[in-house]
Amino acid sequence: MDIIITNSSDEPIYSQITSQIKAQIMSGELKEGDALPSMRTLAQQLRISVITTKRAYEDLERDGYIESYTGRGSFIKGQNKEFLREENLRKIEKSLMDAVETAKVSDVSVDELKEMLDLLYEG
Amino acid sequence: MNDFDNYENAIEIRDLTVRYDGFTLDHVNFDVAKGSIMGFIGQNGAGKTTTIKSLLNIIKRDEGSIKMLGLDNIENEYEIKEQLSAVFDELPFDDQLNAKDLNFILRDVYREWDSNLYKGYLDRFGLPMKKKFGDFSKGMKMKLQIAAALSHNAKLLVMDEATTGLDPVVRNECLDIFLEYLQDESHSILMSSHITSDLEKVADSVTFINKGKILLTGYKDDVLETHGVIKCKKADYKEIEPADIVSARITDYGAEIMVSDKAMCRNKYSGLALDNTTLEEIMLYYVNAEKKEWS
Amino acid sequence: MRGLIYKEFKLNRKFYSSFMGMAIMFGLLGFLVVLSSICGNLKNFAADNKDLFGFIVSVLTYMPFAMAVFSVFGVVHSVFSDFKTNWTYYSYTLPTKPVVTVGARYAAGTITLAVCCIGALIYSYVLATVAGTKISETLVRNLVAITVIVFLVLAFCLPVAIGLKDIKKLGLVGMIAFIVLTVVEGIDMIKIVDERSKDGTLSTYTAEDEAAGELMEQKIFAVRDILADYWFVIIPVVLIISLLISVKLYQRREK
Repeated sequence: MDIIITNSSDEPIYSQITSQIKAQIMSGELKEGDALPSMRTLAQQLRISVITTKRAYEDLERDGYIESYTGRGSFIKGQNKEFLREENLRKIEKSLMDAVETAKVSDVSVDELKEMLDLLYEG
Repeated sequence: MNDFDNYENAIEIRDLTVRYDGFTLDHVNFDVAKGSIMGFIGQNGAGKTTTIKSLLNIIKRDEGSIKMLGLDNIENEYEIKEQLSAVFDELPFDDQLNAKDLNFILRDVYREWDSNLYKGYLDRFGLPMKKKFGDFSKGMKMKLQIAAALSHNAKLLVMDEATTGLDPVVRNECLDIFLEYLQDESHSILMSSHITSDLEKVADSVTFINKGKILLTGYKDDVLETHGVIKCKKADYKEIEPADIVSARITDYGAEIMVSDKAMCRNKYSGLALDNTTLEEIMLYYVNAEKKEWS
Repeated sequence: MRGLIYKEFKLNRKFYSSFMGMAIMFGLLGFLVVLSSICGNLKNFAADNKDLFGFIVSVLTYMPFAMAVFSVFGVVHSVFSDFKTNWTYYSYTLPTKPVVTVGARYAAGTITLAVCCIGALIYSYVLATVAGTKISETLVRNLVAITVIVFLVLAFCLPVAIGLKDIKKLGLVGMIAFIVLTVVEGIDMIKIVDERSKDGTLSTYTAEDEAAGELMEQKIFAVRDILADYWFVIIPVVLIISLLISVKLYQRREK
């Protein structure tokens, strides 16, 4: 598992960790049942506060991505397909929203947009 | 040995007050949670060492109570000290002594002194057993203190400006050792420093002290997240409500204002640039809130 | 306490080695003198002047003893050097009770003193045997008495040092004491000189002076006798009192 945190982003570190782990779950890099490093170990390795990793793990657990057991550690929760699809749909909607707004700013019509979408999907 | 390992805070300080002629440590309150590292930040003379001396019962306090590892720091002084290690910025051992002598001395002092563990650390840090401390480099001296500090099952490390005189490489090595120490959840560290960059990395919580008073205490992440610096034109500065400002720096070319509620200010003053900040900047702005040259 | 006693000895190694070294040198010298009295150049002299020679043998013991005894004060010196290196501050963070921390110094000092005393007795026994005489009882009593005196001085210096901690303060106190004593002595001297110059007896050694001198000698011998006879009471009592005072001073929390 690779976690890369950067100080130059506006995004708080705990949020960077949650996004990266979520992404790896979505992409299948992290599978159901995989063990995550303990909060302390991760904190030590990344040289950050254990409070930060704790928060990241708590958020992941709250959002249903991982399960934590005292004494055993944290494990990736099985994601059902529906849930994954919903998450991805949400992502797509956001990207499309961005595209629409940019299009409006540069006077690109909705038809042009649809054309581009067709081309991209095939290619 | 503290059989009741069920204390929540490694250190609990309540209303600690020490009065000197011309300086008062005034009703200091903060906690160091078990298993965490607390960065105790302040200028020289702000009261860090006085606080630490009170913790260790080296000076008498006028008011307040201190609990360490769940025990009262005066009543159970020796019990606490069995499980505590103090690390200073200067090596407190005579130049004539060597690591072997220290083993002989401390073996007798601490109930749980482990000679093998001590020798293991010496090996790991590359410290020779028979060389006089007078011939050690500064980095070696600090690592020696750490070796001694970690060799008797101490549950609490109290460090007074321990990393201050070290070069960056050695400092980082020491920070890694502290992080390793914290892998055990029953271990805690109180680290006083004015080198905020170290604490920015590894501290779980921070406490700022200035002129004997606590300015701020809380999780480092929270402190960094809630504080920010607005950079704007002098004209815009007048638009900002004084209640939102920690302190501000006005130059000929503009204004820099520290705020303590970044999220709210982002909305309230949405037109103005609002930067993230560092522990060092926070310290500066809070300290200067009292000075008149910054307004 | 073992470890702390070891620390005292290790820290003061230079102190010990220089004084003990000189003591050993004097000791060897004395030994050579005695040897030559039986089989060397001094043989005739020794045979002819038995009394004088006996006296010389005694003196030969006092010299190395006096040298060795200085090393006892290493533990006083270490109070100041410990303060300078911040060891004192560090020792406050250790789980050792003050009576142990302070007691270690007393133990180290007393052990050193005992070694000096016993060493001197053995040495004089050896000398006497080689010279073909017995040890004079006076010599033994004198050695014991001096040991007690040194102990009393140590018992005085340690609390003072521990109370002051910082050698600069000692310097100040020492200076003040010196000035006071000098002034007092000076006033005394002036009085005596004044009186005597009136009498015209300034430059003579009168029978009065002789009597005064003898009285003084008697007093000294009386004190010596008390010390030599009751050392086993004096030393523990003084030790305990001094130790208690030192512990109190050590515990005095700075502010």
